[in-house]
Amino acid sequence: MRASTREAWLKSALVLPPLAWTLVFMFVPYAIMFTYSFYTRKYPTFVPDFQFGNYIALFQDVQYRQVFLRTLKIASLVSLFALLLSYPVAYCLVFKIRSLRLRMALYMAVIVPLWVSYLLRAYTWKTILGSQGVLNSFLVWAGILAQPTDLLLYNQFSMVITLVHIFIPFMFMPIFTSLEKIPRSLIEASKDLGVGRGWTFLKITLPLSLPGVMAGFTFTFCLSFGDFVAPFLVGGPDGFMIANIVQSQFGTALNWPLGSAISIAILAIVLTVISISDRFERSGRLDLG
Amino acid sequence: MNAISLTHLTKSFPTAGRVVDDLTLRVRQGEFITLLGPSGCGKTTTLRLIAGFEFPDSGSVSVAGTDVTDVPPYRRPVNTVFQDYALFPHMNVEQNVGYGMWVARLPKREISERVAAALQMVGLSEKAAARPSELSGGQKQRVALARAIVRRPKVLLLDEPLSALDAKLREAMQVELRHLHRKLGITFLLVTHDQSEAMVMSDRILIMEAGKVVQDGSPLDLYDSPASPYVADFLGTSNLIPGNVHATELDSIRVKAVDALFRVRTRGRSLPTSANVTLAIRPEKTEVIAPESSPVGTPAQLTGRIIEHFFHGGMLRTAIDIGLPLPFLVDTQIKSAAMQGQQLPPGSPCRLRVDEDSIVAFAGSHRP
Amino acid sequence: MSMVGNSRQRHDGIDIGLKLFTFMVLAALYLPIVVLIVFSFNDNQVTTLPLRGFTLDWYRRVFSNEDMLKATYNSFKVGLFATAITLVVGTAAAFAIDRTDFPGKNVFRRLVLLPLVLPGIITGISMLNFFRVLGFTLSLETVILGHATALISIVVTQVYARLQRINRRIEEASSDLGAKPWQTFLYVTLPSIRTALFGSGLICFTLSFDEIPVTFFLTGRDNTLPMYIYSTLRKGITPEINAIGTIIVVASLAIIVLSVRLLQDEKR
Repeated sequence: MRASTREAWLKSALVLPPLAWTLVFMFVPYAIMFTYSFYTRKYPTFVPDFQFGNYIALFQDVQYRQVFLRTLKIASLVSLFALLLSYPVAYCLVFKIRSLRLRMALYMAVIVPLWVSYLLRAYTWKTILGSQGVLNSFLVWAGILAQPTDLLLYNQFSMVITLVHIFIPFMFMPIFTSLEKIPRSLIEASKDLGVGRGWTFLKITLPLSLPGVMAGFTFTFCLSFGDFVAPFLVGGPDGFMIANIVQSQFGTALNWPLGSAISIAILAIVLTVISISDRFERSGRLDLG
Repeated sequence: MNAISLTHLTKSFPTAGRVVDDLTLRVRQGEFITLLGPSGCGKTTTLRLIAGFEFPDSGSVSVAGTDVTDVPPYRRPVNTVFQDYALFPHMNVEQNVGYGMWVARLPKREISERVAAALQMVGLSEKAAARPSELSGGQKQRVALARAIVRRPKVLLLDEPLSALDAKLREAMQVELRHLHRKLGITFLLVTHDQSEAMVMSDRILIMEAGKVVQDGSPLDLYDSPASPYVADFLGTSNLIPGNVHATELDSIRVKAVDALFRVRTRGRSLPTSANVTLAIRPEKTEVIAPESSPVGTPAQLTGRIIEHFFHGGMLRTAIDIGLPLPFLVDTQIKSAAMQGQQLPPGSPCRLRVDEDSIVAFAGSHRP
Repeated sequence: MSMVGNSRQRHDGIDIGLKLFTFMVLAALYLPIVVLIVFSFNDNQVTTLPLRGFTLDWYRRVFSNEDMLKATYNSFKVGLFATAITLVVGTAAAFAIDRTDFPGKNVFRRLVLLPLVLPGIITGISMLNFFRVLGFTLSLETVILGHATALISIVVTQVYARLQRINRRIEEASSDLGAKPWQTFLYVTLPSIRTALFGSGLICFTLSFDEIPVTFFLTGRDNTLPMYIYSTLRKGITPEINAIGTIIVVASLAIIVLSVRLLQDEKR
């Protein structure tokens, strides 16, 4: 056997398993989900069909449209607040902390909660914000409130707080990476040319960190858009999100075709966001190390 | 039997195009041969084709009389010293050197004996337990060398092995490699862009340009009679001057260049009257003469104006404006420069006397 | 002079403000974790201030709760198998992306990395549909396949990043010295990516141990630990959850610190 042929065999042995895996467990399931989204519900199951009713319902039904818009709003708010909180922290770490060891330690401190049980972090906010919760009892104890308020939990406010807390590391990581990549000499050169700190930030640092911001926005927006655990725990009726609807279609409502159609819509939104952010530079990728 | 035999070897890459172009080459057993050329001339690809890291599009490679064109690297009787040494970072020196015998499952005892002998040969016996990260550049180089020769290959390939060393160490290693070559009797094939390295070590030099060998000969041949202005300028420095054949004689011509008349040996080339030629003049074969002095011997041919003096490789190099786009370079031994006190200040006029026997004429006009 | 002094003072003010802000964000990040830990030792059925007294009662209850222990065992099983699959398939995918060229490679790369940003519910639902079509019964095995699919992307990014950094010449050197391809892989390539494998394996394990959205749709009668917690949360909060939560948090913190250490070691 020719050496080059053998090499080709070896390579296909390498490529085939992951290729087969993505084909079988991602591509085919997506295709099936796509097919189901055109089926017709026939309680308690569904029958093959080709009709756009499920998609039309998604746009026409006021309830679905409302939840959809609310999900968009909450995901946007979460991304915005996560950005407003992460950017200064990333900036501070990269430019104001001189010691490399301390900087890496603080970087770790920000991203470590990412792996501290997502469920538990969402759940803890419930115990903090609840009417008998930590914050309420503290406020009553401190004499700021006469009696516990239930305004803190089961609304969009608690949703946004919880989701921001959960997804901050995803926003922070790529911003930190992109800021760290900016050569110091560029900033020094700008200052050397007599440009002040404010303008140096606006003209040099901020534009060069935009790819990181875009990547962070993509992660935060997409992941919070499809979340259903936080709404379940802290959302209340007013915090119901699109993924909760999907969940109920596959659960109590037993409408798989509609659930599939909504899932396809979520997938489409995620892919759109990815391709938009892909247009921007590819730097500032997720770097777990 | 040839140690290496390349026949009509061709290799292309999608982005770089045809890197090795119909190359045919025979290397005798025990020869120290060098592929010399600038980066991108195809010399490293040629080495990689011999090592088996690349496979040719067409043509064949034989090592020690066996066709190895389609044989993977691990079955070829050649070993390579890599440019960046490519030592295994997670193994110590001893394990690095013994690796090839270890994967071949040789007896432990034989491995340790041969490793010890190889390390002794390169003078690194006391570093056997060190990790590559604890070694200096020169030491890494020696480990890489020991690792490559310990398997007693038919051919040792050296890919720019000295390029990462500083100048002093590089010169010492050149001598050492030459010595090692004699001692081992293995065929060495060196790839380098450093002409002085090639001149010091090689029995034979092949100058490559755009995937082809443009000249093949001993270092002295190449230096004395370069086959083209490219070679003349690549091996040492040459002043390339456009000219025009004024008259022909039995084995020499008279060339008019920059208002001066030179008598140049034709070296068997046919250069008819009024043909355009390029003269290659070596900086060290030219003398700068003050305008007022009248030296004995051949008169000066060129006149010009000093631009500046600077030190260059133990010589004093003078750049002179003779009315061409590029300055004319002259190298002078330092001691005579001091003797004559001939630091003509920049800007002063001067005359140049060229040793006409050393001039080489090429047909056609080349770069300025 | 005074202008220079002023501007410097202003800059110092900004610096101090930034550092303060950073400190507050970090404090807010850890607040829920601290609350979780503190209340796991608090002698009160309700998670409310002021603290009553120290107790280990909740931990005692955790260790005598058969369902929770069974769920923990299930989570370990799922985590271990899912991690093993991710490592094998993810490493092969990283090699494929780094070293081979084949038609559709770009689509493949995107598909493999998609779960990094894809909400878990999509993976969960698409695979639920898939298993239904095949007539599979939902079980811990289907959960394992779901987790592996969602987490492969983590291994791919980590191993790919490492592969990009390793010196390809050392593999050529190995081959040059007579090592067959499998020997080169085992003795040279694998040691170079070892810590990336170990680190990303640990990350995958903790993420799988904590997973809800995929598990929710793919599990049968068996519960994993997060699913168990999730379902008891419907009934209301008990400090028992704080206790098991504290155990999980401390264990994941230990694992994560260890794995990131390993990932960074070789970066230098």
